[in-house]
Parts: sequence; C-alpha cells; structure tokens
Amino acid sequence: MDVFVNRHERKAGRKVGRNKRSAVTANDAKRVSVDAVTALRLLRPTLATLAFLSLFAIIAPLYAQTASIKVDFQREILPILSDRCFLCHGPDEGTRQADMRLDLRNDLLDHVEANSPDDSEIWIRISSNDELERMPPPESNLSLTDIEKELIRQWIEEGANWSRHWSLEPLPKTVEIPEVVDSKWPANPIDRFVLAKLESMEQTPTQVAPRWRWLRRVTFDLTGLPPTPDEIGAFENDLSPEAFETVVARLLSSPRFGEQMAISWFDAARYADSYGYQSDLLSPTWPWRDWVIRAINENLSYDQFLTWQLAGDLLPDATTDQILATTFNRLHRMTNEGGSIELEWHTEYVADRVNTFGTSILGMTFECARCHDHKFDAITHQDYYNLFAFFNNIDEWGMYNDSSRVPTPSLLLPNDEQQRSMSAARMELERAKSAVDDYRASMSSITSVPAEAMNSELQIAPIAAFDFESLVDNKWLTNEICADQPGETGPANILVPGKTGNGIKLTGDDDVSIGKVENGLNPWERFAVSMWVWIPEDLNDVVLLHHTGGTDVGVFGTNLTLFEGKFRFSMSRFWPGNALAIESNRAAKKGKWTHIVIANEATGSADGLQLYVDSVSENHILRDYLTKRPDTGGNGFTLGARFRSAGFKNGIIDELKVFDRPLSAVEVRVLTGTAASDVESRISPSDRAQHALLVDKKYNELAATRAAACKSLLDAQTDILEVSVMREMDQVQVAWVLARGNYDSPRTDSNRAHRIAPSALPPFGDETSNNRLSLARWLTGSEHPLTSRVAVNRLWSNFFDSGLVATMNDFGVQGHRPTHPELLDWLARDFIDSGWDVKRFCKQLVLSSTYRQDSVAQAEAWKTDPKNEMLARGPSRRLSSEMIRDLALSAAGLLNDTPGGPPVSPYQPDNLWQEDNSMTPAYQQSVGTDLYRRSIYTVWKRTAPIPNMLLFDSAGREVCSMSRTATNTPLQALVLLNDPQFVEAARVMAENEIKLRSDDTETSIRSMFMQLTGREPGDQELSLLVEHYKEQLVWFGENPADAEKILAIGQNPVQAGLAKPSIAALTVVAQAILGCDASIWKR
Amino acid sequence: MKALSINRRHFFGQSAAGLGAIALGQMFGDSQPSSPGQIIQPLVPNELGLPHFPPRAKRVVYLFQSGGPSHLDLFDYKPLLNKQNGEQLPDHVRAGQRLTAMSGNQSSIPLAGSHFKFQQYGKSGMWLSELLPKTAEIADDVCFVRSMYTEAINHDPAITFFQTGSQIAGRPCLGSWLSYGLGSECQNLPAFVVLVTANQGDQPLYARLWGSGFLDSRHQGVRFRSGKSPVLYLANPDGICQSGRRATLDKLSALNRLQFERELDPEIESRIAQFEMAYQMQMSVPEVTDVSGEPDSTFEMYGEDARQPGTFAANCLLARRLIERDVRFVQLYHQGWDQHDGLPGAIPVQTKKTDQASAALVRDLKQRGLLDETLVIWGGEFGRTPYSQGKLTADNYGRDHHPRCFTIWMAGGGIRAGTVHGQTDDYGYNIADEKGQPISPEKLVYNPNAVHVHDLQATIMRLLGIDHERLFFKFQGRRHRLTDVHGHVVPELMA
Repeated sequence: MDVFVNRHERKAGRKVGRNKRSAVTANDAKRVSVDAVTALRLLRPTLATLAFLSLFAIIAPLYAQTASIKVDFQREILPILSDRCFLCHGPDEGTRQADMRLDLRNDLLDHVEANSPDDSEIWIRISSNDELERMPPPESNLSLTDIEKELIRQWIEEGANWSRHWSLEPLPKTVEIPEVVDSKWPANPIDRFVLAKLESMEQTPTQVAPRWRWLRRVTFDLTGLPPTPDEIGAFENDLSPEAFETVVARLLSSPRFGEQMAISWFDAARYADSYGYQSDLLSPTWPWRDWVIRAINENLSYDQFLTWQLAGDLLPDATTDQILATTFNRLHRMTNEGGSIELEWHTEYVADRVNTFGTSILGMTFECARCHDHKFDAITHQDYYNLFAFFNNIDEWGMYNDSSRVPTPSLLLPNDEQQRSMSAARMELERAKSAVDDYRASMSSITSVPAEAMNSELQIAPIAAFDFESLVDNKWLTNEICADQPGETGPANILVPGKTGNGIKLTGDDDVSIGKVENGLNPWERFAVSMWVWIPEDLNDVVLLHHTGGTDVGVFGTNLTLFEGKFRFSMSRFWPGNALAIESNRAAKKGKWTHIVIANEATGSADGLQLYVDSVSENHILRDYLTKRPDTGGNGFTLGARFRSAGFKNGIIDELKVFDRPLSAVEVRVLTGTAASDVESRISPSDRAQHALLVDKKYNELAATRAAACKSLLDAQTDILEVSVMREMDQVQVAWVLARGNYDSPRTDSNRAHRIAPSALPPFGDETSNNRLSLARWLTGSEHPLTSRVAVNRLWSNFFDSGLVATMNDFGVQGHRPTHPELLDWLARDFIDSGWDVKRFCKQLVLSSTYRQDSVAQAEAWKTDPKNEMLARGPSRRLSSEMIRDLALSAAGLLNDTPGGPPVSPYQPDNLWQEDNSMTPAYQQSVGTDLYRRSIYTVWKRTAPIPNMLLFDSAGREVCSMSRTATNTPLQALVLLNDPQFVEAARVMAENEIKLRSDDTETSIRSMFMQLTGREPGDQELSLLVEHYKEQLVWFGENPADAEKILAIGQNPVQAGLAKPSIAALTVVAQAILGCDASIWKR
Repeated sequence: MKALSINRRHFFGQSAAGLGAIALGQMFGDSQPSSPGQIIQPLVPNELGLPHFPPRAKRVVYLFQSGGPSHLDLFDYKPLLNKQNGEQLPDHVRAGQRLTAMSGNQSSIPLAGSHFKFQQYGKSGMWLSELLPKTAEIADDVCFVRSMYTEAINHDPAITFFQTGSQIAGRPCLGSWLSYGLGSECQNLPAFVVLVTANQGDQPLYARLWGSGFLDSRHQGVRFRSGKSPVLYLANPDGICQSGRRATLDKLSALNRLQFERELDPEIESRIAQFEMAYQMQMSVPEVTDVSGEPDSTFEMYGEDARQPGTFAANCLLARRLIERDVRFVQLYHQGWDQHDGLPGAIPVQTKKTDQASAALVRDLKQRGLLDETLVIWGGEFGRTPYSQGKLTADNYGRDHHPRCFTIWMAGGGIRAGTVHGQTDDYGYNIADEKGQPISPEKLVYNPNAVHVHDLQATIMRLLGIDHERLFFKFQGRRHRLTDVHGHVVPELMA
C-alpha cells in the first residue's frame, strides 16, 4: 500500500505549500453550484439536513426522473475536483503539491481503484477523519460536502470513467436532433432540444406569448427599440401564416439591427471613446464602432468578422475596412501618465490583447496564465506568451501623448474632399521629385569640384552660429550671425575649454536654447546642423539636440539622441510608427571630440535624412513612414536636456552651426578641418556630384519646390481622421515567457515564446510562418472546439435570460456546464454549416417556439428555476441601459436615428468629467438633435462613464466584459423620475398627445401606455392613470408656475398654443408609465 | 395620504416575513444573494457566514489623501537629510530600485531635507511636523504606521491597487467588499458613500475606485456631491413638489402591483420597494447633508471651512453625520498631494485644508462615543523620495513618487491607539528593522517591520470581523479576494 508509505512525504509537501496556498472558506462549498440532479439522486435521510430537505422539496418534482442515472464524470465529478483539488493538484506546476495532479486522466486514475472506493487513495483521503490525512487540508479553507464525497464514491463504484472537459472536445460534425413526444410544439430543431429536456423532467412548455408581447420582445432584441403603435397594429392585423416571418425580415433588414447586435460585442471588445488611465483623454476609435455596425448590418459572416478584426491587415490586398477592423486589438486602455515606463505599459497592452482574445473569442480565462500556469484549466504560462507573440509585433509605443496624436500603427481615413487634396498633394510631390531627379541626371556629367570647395572656408553661410566663447549676464550665448537671436543656457551649464576656444559643458538637467532660428528643423525644411561633441564614457542613452513640444511621455518632433551608444536622428509625429529616422552604423566614440552633422533634404522620406559622424556619412534607415506634421510647438530647438529625459550630463558641445540646406560631404570635411588634406583626385565621384548639386542655384530652387510639396502633403494629411490599427512589422519581435508576468523579468533564449496554438487545443494545420492570419484561420476552422460554441452562446444571451453556458467568459472547468449541451453543439455546428450566418441564427431563434413562449410563470416556477435555465417559459429581462433611454426618446418621437460618426454627448449633470479630474477636457454637452441620438453613440469615457447608463448596468469598458448584470436599485428610480433626459421625453410625449387629441385624456394615456409598454392598459391601470392625471391637473392649474418649470426642462422647445397645466399633468402621467415594470422590462 | 397607506399596507402585508423590510434592506448592499427569485426569503443570518470574528469596528471612514503625501515632511523625521542636504542619494540606499521616468533620468538626485520642524508628541513620542498641529493633539488616539509599502509607482495603478487590491481594472474596491460582506445597517442611506473634496485638481480620481467590479453593482459607492443634488438625480425636477412625487409613487406602486399580479415575477416586488427607497433617500440625503443645525462649536472644531460645502472639512463633518446614521463605509478623497516641485510652498496649503478637520473627526467621533466602533484611516497611495525631483535650491525642492515606504495613520475601533508602528532607514528611503537597518520586505512572507498594502487591507477587514482569506467572490472560475492571494493581518496594529 504505497498510499501509506508515502504519507509522511506528502504531509511534508503540504506543509511547504501552506504559505502559498490561497485560502478560502468552507462555506464556499455551498455556493458552488451543486447540480440539482446529483443532489437529488444522492438524497438520503441520513445525509439530508433540514435545509437541504426544504430545497429538495422545491426541486424534487423537476428532477425526480433522473434519480437513477449514473454519475457523469464530466458534469458532476470534474467540477468538484477542479474547484477543490486543482489549486494544489492541478495544471500549475508552480503550486503543485506532492507531485500529484488530478487534471490528467492517467494521473487521476493512478489514485483510483475502479469499483473499489475503499482501496482508492482519493476516497481514503477525502473521507479520512484524521486532519493530517484529510483532503482538502483544513488550512486550505476548502472542504467537500457529504453529498460531494458520496458522488465521488459512487463514481468510483461505477467504474471511475473519465472524459475530457466538454468545451475542449472537438465540435461534433453532426449533432442528432432528439425525438420528442409532443411533435406539434417544436417549430424548429432548437425546440426539439428544449422540449426533449422538459419532457424528460415531465415538464411542459408555457403557452405561447400574446402576439404583442412577442412583437415587443423581438423588436427590442433585434433593434433595441420598441415597436411603434403602427407596427403593433399592422402585426395584429396580419393574420397570414407568414406574419411572424414578415416582422423578422423587416427587423433584420433594419439598420437598427446592427446597432443593437453590436452592443454585446462592444462590451467584449472594450470599445470606448477615451484612453482610460489617469487623464483619460478622448481617443478617436469610433470609425471602428461604425464598421462593426455596418458589418453586422451587411451580415458579414462571423468567421470573416473575426478574421478581419484579428488579421485584416494581413489579408491579400486588404481593403480600408479590413484594416480598420483590426482596431479591435487597439481598443485597450493606454496611459499618458508622467513617469510611466514605456516597456511596462507596452507589456500591459499586449497582455490586454491576449486577455480580450482569450475571453471574447475562446471564452477561456487566459489572463490567469499571465503569471503562472493556470490553476484549473490546461493553459500553461508558456501558452499565454505564445499567444502574446502574435500580438506584440506592431510598431507601437507604451504611451500616448494627447488626443491629437494617434498611437501607431494607424490608418488615415480621409473624407472625399481630403482624399482629393491628398491625391493632388501627392501628385505635386511626385512631380517635384521628378523635376529634381531629372535635373540631377542632367548634372551627372560633372566631374570637377569647384576650387572654392577646397578652401578651408565654407562657401555657404550658416543662418545661426554659436562658438560658446563667452556668456553674457551668465546666460546669454552670442549668435554670431544674428545678434538679436542669442542662445540661452541654464546657469548650471558652464564654459570649459572646447574643441576651439571654449565649449559648453552640460549638466544634463539644464538645457541650452538655440532660440528662434529661422529654421524650425521640421521635416519639410531643408537644413543642416553641425557641431562638435565630447561624450563622457558613461553615456549611452541621452538627448543631444531636440525640437519637441510639451512631451511628457510620448516622443515627437526632431531629435538627435545617443541611443544604445549610437547616434540617432529622427523626425516624428508619433514615435515610432509615424516617423523618419536614421542611425549611425557604429557606436559613438567616448572621451574624444566627435563632429556631428545632421541634415534634412526634405524629400518626405528617410532618404532625405543625413547623419555625418566625423565626416563619414552613416545613414542606416530605422523608420520611413511619416504622414503628418510633427506640430511640436514649443520654442525652437534645444541642446543637452529635455523634460524627463536623460540629458547630456558632463558632455561638451562646441562650434554649433545651423544651415538652411544640407551640406555636402565635401563641405562637412571643410567643417571638420579635414578638407585641406583632400586633393581633387581623392574626392569620390559621388561626393563630387553631390557637392556640385548642392551649390547649384537651379538645384536648390527645385529642391525647395520639392520641400514645399512635401509640406503640402503633410498639411493635407495632418487633419485627416486617423485611427490606430494593427500593422505587422517586417521583422518579427521576439516574445518571452515573463516570470510572474513582470515586464522586466529576464529575457533569454531559454524562455522564448513561439507562435503556436495553445497546447490544449488542436494545433495549427501549418506551423510555418505563423501570424495573426494563421491564428484567425485556425480559430475559424470548422473543427475548432471553442470559437463557434462561444459565439452562439453570446448571441443566444442577447435573446434569453443568459447564455446556455451561464459563465459566458469561462468555458473552462470552473465555469458552468451548458444547461443544454447538445443544443449548444447543434447551434454551433449549424452556425458553421450555414456559413457563420448571424442573421440566419437570429431568425431561427426568434421564430422558435421556445422564444415564443409566454414569460408568465406560476410563483412556483420563479422559485424552482429563477434563472429560467430549463427554458420552460419565455425570456424576461430588464431592458438594457441603451434600450431604456432609446425607448423614452422613441416614444417621445425625439429619437434621432442618424447612424455613425463621432460620439455625442447627451444630458449629464454639470461637468462630471472634470469634477474629479482636472486633467481631462470638459464635458461638452451636445446641442440640438444630437441630444437625441441612439444611446450607442453616446460618448463613453472610461474613468467617468455617463452615469444614467452606468446605473443601469452598462459595462465599464475598461476591460473585456462578456455579460452585464441587471440590477434593481433606488438610484435607477431616481434616474427614471428625475433625469432631464427622461423628464423631457415624458413632456414631449405629453405635448404630442395633447396636440393630437386635445383633451381626450383617456385616449392620450392609452396611446402613451401603448408606446411605452407595447400593450393596451388594463382597466385598473387606465383608471389609476386617469385619476393621477386629474389630480395633477388640479395641482398644476392652481400652481401654473410649477407647470412652467417642468415644461422648461430640456432643450426641445415647448410647442406653442397648448395648455401648460395639461401638458404638465400628462408629463407626470407619462413619467409614471415610464417607471412601470411594463415599460422597462422585456417580458 | 390615504392612497399611500393603503398601498403600502397592502404591499408590506404580502409576506409574513415582512417582504418590504427585507427588500428595502437589499436595495443597498444587504448581503442576501441578488438573483431574482431569491429575494423572498426569511431573514436569515448573513449568508456569507459573516462576521468571522467579533468585530472591533462596525464602520469605516477612510480619509484618502490622493497624490502621495510626503512622509518626509509630515510624519517621518529624518535629520540626516537636512545634514546631507544637497548630497547625492548613496547608491547603497537605492540599491538598484527603479525610479519613475520623471526623476529617473535626472543627472543628479540630491537629498532634500525637510523645511519643516519636527517635534515629538503623545505617549508614543511620535515625531510630527509643524504642519500637523491638530493631528499632534490626537496623537494618543492614533496608531501611526511608518512602514507602509506598495507595488505601483504611478498614480493610477497605485491608487487602483490601494482601493481594489489589484492594479487590474474591474475588481471591487474595499467599500464594495464591505458592503457585500457586511451589508447595510442603514435603511435609508447607501451602505457605501463617497465624498470628494471639490475643485482640488491634481491627480484624477476614477469611477473604478468606488466601483463594485465583478460584484453586483448595488455594492458600488454612491457619490455624494456638494450642491443642490447631493446624489445624482436625487432632486425632483423643477415643478414637481414632494407631494406630487408621493402621489406619482403611489400610482406607480399600484401599477406595478397590478403588473405583479399579471406576471408573478418577484423582481417586480423588488422594484416597488426600490422606488420607495428612492423616495426615502430624497428625504434622508438632504437631511444628512444639511449642516445648518450644527452648533457653532462644531465649526470651531472642524474649522470654518466646514461651512463651505465640498471642502475637506465639510466632508469630514458629513462623514461624521453619515456614521451617526450607520452608514457602513464613508470614503473621502482629498487630492493635491502630488508635489513633484515646489513642495515647501504647496504642502502647507494641503495641511491647512486637512489637518484640523481630520483631527476634529477623530475627536468628534470620540466625544460622541462612536470612535470605539468606527475605524478612521488617513493616508495616500505612496510616499515621496528623499531626494529632490528637479532643482534643489535654498528655498525649494520637489519629491517624486516613492512606493518603498510611507506613513499612514489609523484611529478608532480596535486600533492600538497612541502607538507608532514600523520605521524607515535614516534616509526615509527603505523600511528598516528594529535596529534601523534597511530591509526589503516581501509580501509573501509576513514581516512585523513592514506593512504591505494587502496587509493593511487584511487588518482593516480583521477589525471589521472579517477573515480576509474567507471573504471572496468567484469570478472567472477563481475565488477573488480584496487581498488577492496575499496579505497578513498585522496584530501589532490592533489593540
């Protein structure tokens, strides 16, 4: 009996683990859903506590039939093992105790003697009375209930069968549709699955819902809006057999369909209109939002919908929409907080992509494996970073700077007019370039360099020059060219012996401002800057010269830096993805004088940039993509230091000269003093030609024209809407398995990540050159176990009380089992077979008898199946935050159904955005009809979401979310009764009615009731409302000032010529109807 | 109003167990399960088995000082810094720790002695700066913790970590956990109220800091604001008087009653109760926020600022009024401590706003006999560097973020009053052991010399009778806690 032999060892093992073990409470056991079927089957008087008895009294009738079924490992045993044992005996190697794991078949069965519990270590351990023996150990705060132990015993007795976790099983190629007794009820296969289950429990479905109720339900579910009275009337009068299909066809073709169906995807994709952290500035991501709505309306197949979002940029000849779709992976939050560390945040963003991908598409909690192997599911730490490797390969930066600079990589989305100006500017630039090229070709025969170039004096005059010989007033530096534009240094920088005479020695914290020299060192300006620098031994990453704006964390503008010991010269709109940059080939020399020239020919690309180090041209191109002006603002250019950057500490600069055109190599040698040793014959032909061009008047005119064209193009592009997208870098960036998820953990060859499929899932077909496109194709393969199951479950939850798998974000072993596993598989298979057709899916669902059931249920049913898991009645649910507001606007006739475009800003009390955040822009409430746009277009600011939507349980959109709760709180009552949005809508409803029907109050009330609830009021309801109207009319008649006040709420003008007390009284009645369950619930 | 009484009797009479009362309790964070269908239940002991221990405190006021107050200028007296003012922070002190990208690139990191005088107070002999004269007066009621440390170095992640136990968004905050775990003791006010000093500027606050994360949104903090509508949408629209509103609610209640008879969904009954609760809040919130009845002596104690709604002092007074009415958790935020530069000028402005009222709150609760069961916490998300960020001059310095040590204080329920816990090295850079030697505490292992954020959270929960390891919520398949998988109760902080 090795069980006992090993006991001491195991105990020791347990002790070691005690500190690490996450402790939880014993009463958790109660909260873990004990499958009622199981519980009932095991119910024996000796086991049953009083509490259990009363529970069973309720559920017994439901499950009576199933009492004799064998234990199902998958559904009944695995959840117990996972929840109570895997923490120490599961997939995570790091916390595994006694080298024992129960998540793998063979390892588990090693500890089980089939048919013989008393010889099975597992049973011995869980049933032991000895605290040192018993599992789970007391200090884990975990325990097994008697019922659970009994289940495990029975499972062993029955032979200890084993199977894989359901969601990782391949999706069956076909799923058999069950036979049912009542063959009349099912309208389609969905119903056969539902009914089969009900019949097995001797249950019957609820009667069909009244027609109005189905209409209201389906109209909300497919469009997010209530049916209009006309639509209700038309449907009630359409007695044709196709009446239902006609409605569904109408709704599916409505542009409102995409707006409604997009919402749950926006929650999953964490779509918002702001960056999220700290100052939480607005981000222009709405073009992606509009694409999603468009794609759903056009019924883009779901596999394409995913493929475009994951890898649209990698599709052959990708369209603008396909690239735009990839914004999906750029919707994570971003920071611009000062002092942030770029790599740390970069790592966060990629991790967010992995988490969102794992949750929204695979329905697995991948994020648990960021720091260690997953505790419950077969997802390893390595798996996590293998996925990470697909998403880290874009040219991005770990911070954003401000709302005007879009994080790269990005896509320009010009409107027609902008497209025309951009094309025109491009053609102009091409022409200007050709003119230069042609002229250069015509000059190519020049073989001699003018004699003056051989002089030690330059023939070109600088536009600014500083020799750093003396300081005036301890801070002013003489500009030898323009005396009225001196330089200025911080007082701590000092003059020391330089290359010639004095130079300026820098502290690294105090800068030297070169002042407003004519040339701003912009990408469209031709220039050269020459200087001598002396670099101390210990400097490798510092700023030497820059012209950048108020950058705190992002870097943009013109920079000359030392980066990892090499000189780097860049001009950028947003580093690194929207920039021109070159780098020296060799490391800079330390402790010696080095001559540096940076120059720009303003060609619009990196080939115009030049870097000379000690007269040698070193132009290794790093970045060559600039679409917009840097727009640095600020004060000209600066030496030696920059806010929050490492400065040129103890470095010396001397003999700074600025020129308004690039210098030739020959001229550079003049500046370095090596030209004197040149003899005509030693000047290379290319240097000769270059020099001849640069001193040629015509060439300079043509180059200036090209520079101007370059500026025109940048100007034309700068105002164009830009959105962050995915664009694969040429060279694949390596990803590493990061210990404990830390950005700064070691990166070595031994912990590299690889672009392969997670180990628990089928491998990619072709393991070569994997990228996001391979990932998308793998996901949307017809055998993938998760993609379609997760998708149909999410779609299903748009219509029913929850998904068939209630934990929509967790299809892992700790998640809920599907209530109808075969139905889920059938839906998933049918979805794929139909070509991932979302509209077809929705149609099938809303026309099913299951969906058409009434939601009314006897009190007993609300107790036995509160969540309607058995689907023995129709769905019922509180309307979403979007639906509630849109219902009020729609009933008032205020709803502005303009689709798309930048977000709008409806009523919000005061300026909530700045109340707690003075770094964020003020809330600019919309005016006019923009106040009444559909709620999906309301601006979503992550750190301060619009309160009336948050109170109705909108997702916060900071991270991926797969489901919303539906709470009932008093604050919701306050919104419905007091928020100007709803008061105004009630008032406008009242006005419309009075205008239409004068004083036929009863009809008005009926009409308002119909618009808000979709049905006629009952007699008692009507009389209560009429009575309320009368009371209120008396009040407002006596208090006309109050009537004036309530009418003044909201921006929509009051219609002239109507009796104000009547409007006020009817407004109050409309508010009462709006507050009714009948209005804000979908039943 | 006759109609009301009939309706309400009708409504409350529905359940022998008193549905209405229970449902009302549930509106704000009562700990009953929230799923529909489980609303109607006999009143049972707390479903979560709470409290785990006899509570030492029932309520909390957390005076959060956002931005990171300088421990070196308020609480942690370091004469060596004044002595070595201007000298570089020695490498052995920093020991390779990361600095933020704000001062990490400075070519020089000169030590900056505090410009403020320190003196010892109380039986603990706690050194306090001259900026905190009123706090000094309550020293014997306070436990100062000088050995706090955290993990984050930027404001947003640090404050999110402090309030929710995780830098990752989407986790419930302390107040939500308490609302979830302990429920409400108050029938007409929320269990968890948030107050923010108005117009302070500086580092932002975020809805997530008082969000309920994956817990039911009933547990999120309810923000009270100064002005006409202390809770968003609380006030009736212009033109609707309270009797008119009452009449509407009565009709609405009757309509929903009819709907319930039709649908039989218990959720409808909950909705009826919820409208009633809203009505009650319309009465109780203005009542609690109206301080006009407070005697002059109150304002002498809290300072004249307390007459001005939205000031920190006014919020401290309001906190006391909320506590008197059994609100479980009052979370104050006061921004403005992020003194990267110009610290000597800026920090007295802050202490002028906060010192008197913070001390007054403790004193006031004490004289009302409420301090014994109310825990008061004062502190920010991290400390500040002993070296100057930016230029050190004769009359100016700034300090960057410093997560490795900082000071907070606690008073009231269950706290070991009149004590000082923990210490830092001579530079105020590292936490130190009993001998003053720098140490590098690890959150995995309990270290009596150091208090990690999770340790503080664990201790706060312990004082409220909660075992932090046993209050959890299952989300994404795992048991989440405020303290993640860490945290140790610090017995030294408890009486």
